[in-house]
Amino acid sequence: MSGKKNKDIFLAPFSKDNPVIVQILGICSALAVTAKLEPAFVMALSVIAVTTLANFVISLLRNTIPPRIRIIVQLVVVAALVILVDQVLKAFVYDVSKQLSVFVGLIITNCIIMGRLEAFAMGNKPFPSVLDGLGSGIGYGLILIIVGFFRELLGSGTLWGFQIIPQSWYAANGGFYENNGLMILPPMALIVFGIIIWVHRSRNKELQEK
Amino acid sequence: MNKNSNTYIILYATILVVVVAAVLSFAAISLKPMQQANIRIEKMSAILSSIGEGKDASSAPSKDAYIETQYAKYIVASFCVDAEGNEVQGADAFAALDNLPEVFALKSAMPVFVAKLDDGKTLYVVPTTGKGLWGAVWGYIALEDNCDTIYGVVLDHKSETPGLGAEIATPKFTEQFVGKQLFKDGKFQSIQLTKGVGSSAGNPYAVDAVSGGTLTSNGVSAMFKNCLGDYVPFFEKHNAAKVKVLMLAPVEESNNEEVVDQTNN
Repeated sequence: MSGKKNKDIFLAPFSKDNPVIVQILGICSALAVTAKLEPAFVMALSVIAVTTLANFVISLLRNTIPPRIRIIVQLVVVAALVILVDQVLKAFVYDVSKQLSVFVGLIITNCIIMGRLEAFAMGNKPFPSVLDGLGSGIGYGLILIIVGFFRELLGSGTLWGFQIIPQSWYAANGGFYENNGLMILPPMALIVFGIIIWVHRSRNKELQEK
Repeated sequence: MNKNSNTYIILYATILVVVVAAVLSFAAISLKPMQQANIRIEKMSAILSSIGEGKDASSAPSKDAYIETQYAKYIVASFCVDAEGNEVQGADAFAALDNLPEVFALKSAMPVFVAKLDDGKTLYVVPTTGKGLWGAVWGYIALEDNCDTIYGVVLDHKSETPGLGAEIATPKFTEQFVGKQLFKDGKFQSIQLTKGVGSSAGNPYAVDAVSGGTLTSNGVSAMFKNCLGDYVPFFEKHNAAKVKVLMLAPVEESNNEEVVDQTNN
């Protein structure tokens, strides 16, 4: 493995092979947790941990896994890791785990993880697999944070829980401004994704289908 | 070895599952004390914030220790009452918080916490539980010594919509409850969440509902009605006992015992 290639494996998911805005995977959980920045960030960290570890474990086991039950084996490994992440969150950052509630469990069904296991970890050595998992997780997390940023700012007027839009702007206090309630609902997350994909594709012509 | 043979597949699956189960059990058992401590601290902290204490938790060097000491300082007693308002002997009020829906379904031992503030004020904190739009909602209601006027309210929820139903947990919403009353001319009235900003102005039995969170608000209204309603016999008994004690305070000790007997009847 050359250093150059490892770098590509790590960096590709950030932009031109981004799991969310290019492969359109993991949308479901991304819609759910991006109403506020903080849960989006913790969700991103959790997914990074799970993709990296799952890629590592599956890559170690890749030569022993019976092909016929490989999807089941992958699922067992992912599910076990997700439960571990959930337990660790509950023990160490209880407040955040309360916010994420059911979404942590939903990491199991995140297509990005299964996709990376099937497409990469099953056929590559542990170190590149870890890089691939890390890269994909970060690629997912970046999009989550971008969407979370806009949704929290425009929907609640806050960022990370801190008030950004001055209180005096609000119509309730005699100002002209009103939070956009639609931003905190999932449909608006989808629209924000659409806008990000649009911007991304117009900047990367090679991604445009003929 | 042939990786497609049935023996290999069965053996592989068995070993994998056993190993995974062992790892998960180990993690669950070793992390359990910390998780339970977190849940315990969260409940204590909710009870404390309903009486307006425990505010410096985030700046305290150890949040857990801070909450523990504050709880020990302000919560002077806790007990359980049954549907007739009588105290239940030997029931652990704090443990009852673990499964509130069942506690309110049975109505045999509902927890009450007694708090004493720095200024000597006695408060009664009762838990409530109900259903929001997506999941459970719950809260702690601190009542003044007359078991009528609300001193403070803390609400929380499992999975209400952020920005809409979830607003019930914000201080902006809960501070509306302060000073509201439960009883109208001696009859239990509960607190209604009414639609529209300012719709509850001047009404001591209502607060403004969350706009865009009608179903959650309805859930909170129902929760107050049901859970606080279950405590009504206790509230009434508490007030009746207090009035009698006040009236008969100067008389001799032997008479006082009689009064206690009467209140228990």
